[in-house]
Amino acid sequence: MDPGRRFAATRRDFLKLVGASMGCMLLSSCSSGSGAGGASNPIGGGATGPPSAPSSPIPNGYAFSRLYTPGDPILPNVATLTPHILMDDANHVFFYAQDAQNNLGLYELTVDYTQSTPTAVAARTLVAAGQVMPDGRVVSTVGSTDVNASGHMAMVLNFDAGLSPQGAGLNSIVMDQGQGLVTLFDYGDAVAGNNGQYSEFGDLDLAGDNLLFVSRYGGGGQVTQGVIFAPGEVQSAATIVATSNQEVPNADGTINSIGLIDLDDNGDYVAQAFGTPPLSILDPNTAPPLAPLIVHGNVRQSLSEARLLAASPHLSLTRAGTDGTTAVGMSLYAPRIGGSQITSIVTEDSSGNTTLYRAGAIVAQSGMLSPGGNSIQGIVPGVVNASGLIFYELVTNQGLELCVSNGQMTALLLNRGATIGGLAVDTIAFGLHPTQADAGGRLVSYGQMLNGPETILLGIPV
Amino acid sequence: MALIPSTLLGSSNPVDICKGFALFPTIGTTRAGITSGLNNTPLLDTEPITVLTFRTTVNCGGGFFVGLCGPAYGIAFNAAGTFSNTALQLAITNDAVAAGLIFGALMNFSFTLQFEVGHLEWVNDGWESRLITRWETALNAVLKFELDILGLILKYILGQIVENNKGPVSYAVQQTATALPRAVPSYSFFGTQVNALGTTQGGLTVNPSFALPINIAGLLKLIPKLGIIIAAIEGAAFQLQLGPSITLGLPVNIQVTQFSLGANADTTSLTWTPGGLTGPLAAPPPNNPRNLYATVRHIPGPFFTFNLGLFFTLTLIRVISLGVTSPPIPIRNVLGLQIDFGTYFNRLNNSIGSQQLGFDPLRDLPDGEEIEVVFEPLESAV
Repeated sequence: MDPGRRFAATRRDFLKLVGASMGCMLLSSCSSGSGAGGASNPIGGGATGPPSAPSSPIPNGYAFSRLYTPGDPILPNVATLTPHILMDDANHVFFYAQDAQNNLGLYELTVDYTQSTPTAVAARTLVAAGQVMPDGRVVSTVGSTDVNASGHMAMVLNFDAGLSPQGAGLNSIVMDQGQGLVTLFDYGDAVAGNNGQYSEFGDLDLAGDNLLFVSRYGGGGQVTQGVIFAPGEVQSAATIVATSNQEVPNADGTINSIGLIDLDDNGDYVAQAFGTPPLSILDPNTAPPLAPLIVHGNVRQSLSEARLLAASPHLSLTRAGTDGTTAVGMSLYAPRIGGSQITSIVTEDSSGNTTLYRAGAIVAQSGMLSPGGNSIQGIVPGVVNASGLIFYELVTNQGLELCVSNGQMTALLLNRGATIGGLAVDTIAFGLHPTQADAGGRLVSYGQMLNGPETILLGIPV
Repeated sequence: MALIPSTLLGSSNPVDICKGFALFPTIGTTRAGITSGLNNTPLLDTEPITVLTFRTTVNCGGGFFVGLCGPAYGIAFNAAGTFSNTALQLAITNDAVAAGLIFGALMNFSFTLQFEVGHLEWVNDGWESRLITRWETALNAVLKFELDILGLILKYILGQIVENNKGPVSYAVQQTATALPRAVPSYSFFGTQVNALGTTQGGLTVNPSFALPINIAGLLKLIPKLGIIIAAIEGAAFQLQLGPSITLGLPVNIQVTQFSLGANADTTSLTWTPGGLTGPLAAPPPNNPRNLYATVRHIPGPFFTFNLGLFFTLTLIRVISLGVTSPPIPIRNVLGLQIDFGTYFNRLNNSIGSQQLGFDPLRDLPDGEEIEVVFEPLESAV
């Protein structure tokens, strides 16, 4: 059985929720916040860190439409979507999908917002599995992606070792600016400061013309994983912002590995990492405890000056770390940043309670009431747009809800059962990528219609 | 001036690291030997992680079995020339020096990913009616293998080892026939220099080195049984990065420092020229010296490293990431290698004029004493 085809069906299944229908409408109302009471209960119980930083007001309402469904004439070869969808501030929506032969590809839609219903008027393929690069390497999969406001797309390409020239680099970071792919960083390139050679690219993020990415590299007799900042996407200007084996700021322990990152237009970044507690006496037959953490720093400062936003209870906070600015809990979810240092993190404490923080203030918490008035059971990391609005998805006892918060007010935008284009929404998968809401508040999301097709949903503030 | 016909001096001919001199000789052992060892490391074991309506459980662990010959160096050259009571002059030809090690590594890795879908179901039970979540397993991927990790990544190692070590010394990484325990395929990593002793003051400074983390998930796809599992994991929108990190640094300086004709007829210094060397003798050589000796000094650099490690990262688009990197495991600890930095000397010698290293039954033993046997006639019985 073709594993890709089998799991394409499974992916559709995993996004489908069976539950009571709701009948709630699409439009948001400016509710006075969630059961958490709006911008209350900042991390640690005290007023800490950046203020709840009210940003733009929440739009009065949203209109949702089904922008693209697999098989639409604009791009007929796409067969199955994934929740890997993102958008720029201009008029482009990008998505990663499978064709009928299970080949994954990254596609771009050009949207005409002037029509009564936003419509995809053009499409192109940025890269597809099997594509041959000028050096003979053959694309296998696309890793991390990001797009800036102008529509320039940076992505990690993984190459097929069997079809590519023997010994050729296994991955690279490339950029598409509308005229084909340009390699920015390649396997084997010299690391900033002569620290070795890049080997394995992880997550990346693009803010304007500045690139932040994670890479493992070897040199100087050791292997390191680092966060590298490349202003202007120029390799020669790249600097190392943080690395493994550095001390965790405000906690005892060192960084073991680095996960997901996000960068804003001011050079502020958030990074998820995994720490190694000091002096751990480990049973050699037992895996060491997972100790995730989230830091908030600036690319022009050293890691020691970064703030620790969240830390696993396995890491002991130093005195500086116990000032109430650090959430203690497991942070396996991606941190996000946008607007003016507006951060969004999700942590899970030892009791299993999941909490969403916006700039240090609780926005939603499991067990509390959602903007839709239902009990929150799960939270997906928020997407922070350039205006500081945080869009997030909640799993409630009555289904999925797509919500927005500006730090003072929260509102429900979309939930299961709402009707879009004559079909009821069954599943929404929003927040799996950080660039799903533009500065104007428009957003994109994966959707599954009840007894209908999967689709790319587009939300426009009205 | 007396002649010294061409004489082969060396650790082996051709030069073979495994038959050479150990860079870190332990007491009683100057020659390279074979050692092996095993290390296993549990890496990750998670509680179920829930995002939206699915949850994931991950655990993984891995380790290495390593077989090693060396680190060591080998040297061989022909020396021919003349000597007087006070000086020695030699032309050095066909010289080759190599330093490095031969090792093989089996990497074992096990990884399980359980991926469940949550379905909300309404339970109609009067006042206690409620929504419950029923979890259904959508993917149960078990990735388990033990394979020759060096064979898989050899070309990437070669690319880096050559890139990092530019200069007169050439570097090579190649499979060898050295028999290691558990029949682990063996590979040699060494720097070599040929026909250059005269221009390098009788020495060789070599540093075969590389530091390579490498994601082998893409390479594992080339193995059919493993490729299906990885394709299934990627089909569920996960990205998998796993692999070894190998660091090797073997800086060493090797220098021919002295020649001798025996009986204290040692050179007190050497002056190297592109074609050979000259050197004053501390004492007159014996009449008809039988052997030519050479002293080779080696100094292992203080930055010797040889570590193996593992890394693993599982990412779901850009919303969840789990990662772990094992601490680098010094192979010397796994293999029980004693590393003592310092200056070491080894002695080469051969019969003057011999082109064979070791025992040659067809040649007169130069140090054998001649015995004349006389058969006396039997005394007359009369």
